[in-house]
Amino acid sequence: MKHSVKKKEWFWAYVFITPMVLGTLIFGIFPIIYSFKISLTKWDGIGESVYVGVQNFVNLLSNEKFKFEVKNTFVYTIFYVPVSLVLSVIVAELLNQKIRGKEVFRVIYFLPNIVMPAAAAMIWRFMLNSKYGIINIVLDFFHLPTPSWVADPKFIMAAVILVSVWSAIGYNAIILLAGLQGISRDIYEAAKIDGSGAFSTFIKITVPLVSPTLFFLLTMGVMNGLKAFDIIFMFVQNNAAGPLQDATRTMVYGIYESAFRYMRMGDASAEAIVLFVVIILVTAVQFKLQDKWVHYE
Amino acid sequence: MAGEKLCGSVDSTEFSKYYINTILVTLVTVTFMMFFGSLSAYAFARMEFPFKKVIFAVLMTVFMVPAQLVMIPKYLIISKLGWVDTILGIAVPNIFSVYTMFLLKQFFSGLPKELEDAGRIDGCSYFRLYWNIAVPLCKSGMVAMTVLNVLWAWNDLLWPLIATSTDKLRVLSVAMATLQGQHGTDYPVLMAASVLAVIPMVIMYIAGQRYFIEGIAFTGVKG
Repeated sequence: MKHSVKKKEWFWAYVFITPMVLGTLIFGIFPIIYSFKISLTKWDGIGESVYVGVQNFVNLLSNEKFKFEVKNTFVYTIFYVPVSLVLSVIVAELLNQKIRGKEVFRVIYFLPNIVMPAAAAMIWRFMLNSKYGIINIVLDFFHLPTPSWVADPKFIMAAVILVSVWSAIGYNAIILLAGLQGISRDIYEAAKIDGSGAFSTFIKITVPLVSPTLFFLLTMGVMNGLKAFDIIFMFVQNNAAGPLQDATRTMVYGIYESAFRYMRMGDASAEAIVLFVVIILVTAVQFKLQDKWVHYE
Repeated sequence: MAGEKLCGSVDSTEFSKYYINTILVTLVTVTFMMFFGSLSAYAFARMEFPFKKVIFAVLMTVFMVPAQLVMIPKYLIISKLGWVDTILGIAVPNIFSVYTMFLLKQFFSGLPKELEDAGRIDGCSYFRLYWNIAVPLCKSGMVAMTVLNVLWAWNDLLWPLIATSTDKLRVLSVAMATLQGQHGTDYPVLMAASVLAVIPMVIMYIAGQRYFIEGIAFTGVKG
């Protein structure tokens, strides 16, 4: 009796997980293996594929576009992640104070995260327009320099990072706020009695106590930075090949362009694998370093 | 006013088609995401079966692989199946969300053990235990995950861009990109289109912000 009940439970459990397991096999595991195979071929996705060994990887090294893509991917991540994290910590800390209308601020800060990135990029491009964009009108009013953000190769990446940061702060802040609310008030009371100032309390108590949350946001942020697409695509797609395009093309854009504009599946898959390895390595390094600053209770 | 501007320069029937397409794609994708995600989450959280840990670990490992690595083979699969420019091509590769499964498993694991015992005495089938007992009890988790998935499906650009080649099933995010290409500096049109694309999510957010905030905070705590 007991045995048949158990068997019945097994049977239904397997029925329940079958769609997920099959779907993951077809659209997850098989594509991973297939990617490696394609990366060793020259193939337009339709005709015959030709085995070329590691030639696609070798070609990447001498490809000028690829060099820009690697550089831009790292520049983007190195600025986007810390800037959005620092600003999110500040916003979360402010939202954690006893202020009136806190709920309203919370709604407003999170709003950018709701906005479709493709639409956000378009609205920001307008605001950053050198002639009639609101940003430069304000900068001009204060007699500050007014660069042509979206038309100057020196500034366009800054514009992309600005939009990405704007879009990410709300999400990070909500998660951090949940972490901050988990800290007992008694600890702050004790720090106050010991005569600790607001800033040193923040650095010595708040930051270590939310460090697991910060670590989560850092690793996720770096991953998202390395594989960012939507906002970058909206900034890069209109620009003809040249310095402006080279200043914003990232690895994911490069993969997209090789595969779906030029139908070079082999080159694109090789670049995808390089990106994958980069993400694994960078994430592994972060996990290695976490002992140095992350405090788990 | 925004509507007039849009009608003036872009065919408004075209734009309403993109709207309907986006609603359709979001609806189909999220419905199946939630069903398959919660069903498997329930099995992993509340049932015992051989190789449970191994299967779960394999699924989680696949989840760690960035979508950008697999987008080329995924495209080749849907093109082999003749699914390019169809709802199947846009939705099916995205409906098996290990992420949804993982987070819902955390919700289901939090339910007391006695629940199923009571249900089992009444002779409930496993599917009814899941559907009539566990899902209603995890309503807030289900709603939070639904809302997050709707937001993701509505806003996603990369996959619909790859999976469609004509404007038959063009969604709003892809329309943004193509509009920008065609009307590069016609800002009134571009702004009107962006506002229209964003409004449904803003309304959903304001109406259900508790679920948004809960869901987001939860992904941070358990993720």
